[in-house]
Amino acid sequence: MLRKMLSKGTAVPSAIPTADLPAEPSPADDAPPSATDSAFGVDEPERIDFVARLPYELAVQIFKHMVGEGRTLMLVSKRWHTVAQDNELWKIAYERRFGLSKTQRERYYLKRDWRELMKVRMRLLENWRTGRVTASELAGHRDSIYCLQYDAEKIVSGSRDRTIRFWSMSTHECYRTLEAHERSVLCLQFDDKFLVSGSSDNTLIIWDVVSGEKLKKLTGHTQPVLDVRFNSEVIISGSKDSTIRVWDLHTGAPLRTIEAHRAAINALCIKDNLLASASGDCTVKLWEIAKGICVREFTGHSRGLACLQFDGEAVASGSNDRSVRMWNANTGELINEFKGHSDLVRTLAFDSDHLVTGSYDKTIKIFDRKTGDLLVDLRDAHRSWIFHIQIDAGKIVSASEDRKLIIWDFSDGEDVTDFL
Amino acid sequence: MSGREKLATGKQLKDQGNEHFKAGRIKEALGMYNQALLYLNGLDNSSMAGVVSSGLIEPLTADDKAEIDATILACWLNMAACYIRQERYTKAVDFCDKVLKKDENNVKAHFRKGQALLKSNNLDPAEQSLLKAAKLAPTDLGVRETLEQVRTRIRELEQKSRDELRARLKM
Amino acid sequence: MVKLSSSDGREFVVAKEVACQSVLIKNMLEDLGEDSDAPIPLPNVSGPVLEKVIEYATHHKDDAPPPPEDDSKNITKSSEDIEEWDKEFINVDQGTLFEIILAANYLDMKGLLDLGCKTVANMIKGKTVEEIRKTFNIVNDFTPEEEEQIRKENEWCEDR
Repeated sequence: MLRKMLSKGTAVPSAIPTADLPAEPSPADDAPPSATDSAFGVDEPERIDFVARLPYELAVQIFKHMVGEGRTLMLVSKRWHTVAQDNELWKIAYERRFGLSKTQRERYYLKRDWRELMKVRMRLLENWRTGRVTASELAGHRDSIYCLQYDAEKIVSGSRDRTIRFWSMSTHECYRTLEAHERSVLCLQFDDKFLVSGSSDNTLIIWDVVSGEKLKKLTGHTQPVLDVRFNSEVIISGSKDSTIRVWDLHTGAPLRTIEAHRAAINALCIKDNLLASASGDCTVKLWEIAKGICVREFTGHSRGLACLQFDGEAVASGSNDRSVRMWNANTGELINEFKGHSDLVRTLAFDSDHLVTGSYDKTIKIFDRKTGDLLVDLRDAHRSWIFHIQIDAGKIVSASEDRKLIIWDFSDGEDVTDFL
Repeated sequence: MSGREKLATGKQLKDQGNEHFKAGRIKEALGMYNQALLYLNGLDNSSMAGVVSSGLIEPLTADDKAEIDATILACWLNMAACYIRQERYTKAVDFCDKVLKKDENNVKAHFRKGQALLKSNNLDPAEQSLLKAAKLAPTDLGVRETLEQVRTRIRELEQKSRDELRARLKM
Repeated sequence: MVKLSSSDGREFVVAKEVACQSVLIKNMLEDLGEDSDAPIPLPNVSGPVLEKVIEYATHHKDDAPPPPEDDSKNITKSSEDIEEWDKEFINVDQGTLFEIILAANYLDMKGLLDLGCKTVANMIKGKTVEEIRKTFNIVNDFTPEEEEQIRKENEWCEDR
């Protein structure tokens, strides 16, 4: 169907189109052709303010297809402005920009004000960019702290002093100490039911995270267990003995041993049905968990790898060559290299905007994830090697050889509980 | 038929549905509610309100629109009740959700959804729905009782699964 | 076969799978079982529009049911992938497009409703504020101060 060019003279538009009268065409000969032509023989195609005349929910549906153009839509008219401010649309914008955490997805039914969340998140970003942060120290371990994980309520840490400690996120007090490993606790992970820890004593222990009760000890590795991850079905451990072992989470039964690398496996990360492993042999490998087969390898580092993160789209690894490499996990293409540390990059974490690293050079560095630029250098807080960090939109928590945990708080008074 | 006439027809059909329901004729009740919806759905934005000029139609007032919405919600809620009687629990939940999408503080919808979820053994979601109902209507005894039922069942199941897990790990 | 009757009294006889593209009708048929020959009254859609809707439903009757809520990551791209037949079908004047959207909403037909919304979205995408107003004949009801206020209020959001 051909489009008719409108070339009317100086017709004057009606003042305000009402619902009952057909709208008059706008004036001027540079009026654009109507988007679609009439098949029903009407001479001048009718123009309708869809957003004003359709029910609100349908207008929102239309705008869902143009979430990136909100600022234009808001300025068309008062009605368009009202629709463009819909909370659903802000949620979509937020998710596109920052992604949603698991808890944010579950708690959605509580109907957050997503425009507000977006605003606060932007303010937090500013704080990160400018290094506006307050640091608090948590002391109590009697030796190096090798690993940590936190959630909204607590921080759990593992140490060379063979204990696992639970700290309250609000009071910073240590409220529980677990002792069962015979040597250093090197790695741990917890969820709402279980805590699993790995140790220099070559074993793993499954604990009840709520009661602190020790449930089962897993033996099999012939050298220290350097990292452990678990999902709803299996526990996966990596060791200095160069193997990855898979265990049943509920029974503790060993399911599979994989001769995975040519050197120690220092870090593991699970996302959906895939496992990423980083090794002293300088490579990152991606495995299909169910079959135990390697589906991709990432090379490029010149020295051994100490840490990694994998989110399904990107995989990043930190190395003794002092750099971090980030690859596209699906294509294997190198996306970025992050340089700046003067010693081993021992731990890292990234989100939609930042890559944060902890090093044996005693500093924690914040890089712009997209450009690779160094944004902030957190030095002179830890007095020794950084062993582990975890981040979220509002903070970094770090663990060091200096026996301290430090909480780096970027919230500057904002309520950041919604971002965890 | 004018908008007002359709609203009146819709209400009549709904009322007939209610009569059938009270008498236990669930299938007939559903028939009436479905028919009511044919008249009421999209009525407040009926294309009859003239883009292609098809003659004069008296526009509906804000009060009319409110009545249309209320009647549609009542139909959905009653249909949910019918589906529960017919043990078609997924459908019941779907219709409660339709109501909640339009009126998220509708106590009956949360309550009925909770009931349907409980009867189909979805205990955690049932608890969530009933909690919302209880929050909105703290003095409603029916809600409290059903909530207690759900909680007791949850506690029993949790204890059972904890015991089983322990037993397996200790073997 | 099912009989449908529009607001202006026109009757249409269609296959059951075609009629059941409308969840409103499908639900009714499911709840009532095999029952009567009586035409289903559809008082909120006119003959010409119902005809267009039936054309769509007939073409799509063998489609798999639409997936649940769109993944928000893909939703902005999805307004671009409209199949050829649908493009031709929806190439109508604004008035008809408007009525089709309302009819799809009334009859609860997600695929057709999505198509209508995507089409309107495509008419808006990439245009400046002035161009949008011209396309739909919208009068600017903001005062210059109000416009300035809105620009200021939203400076903080990058691409929104």
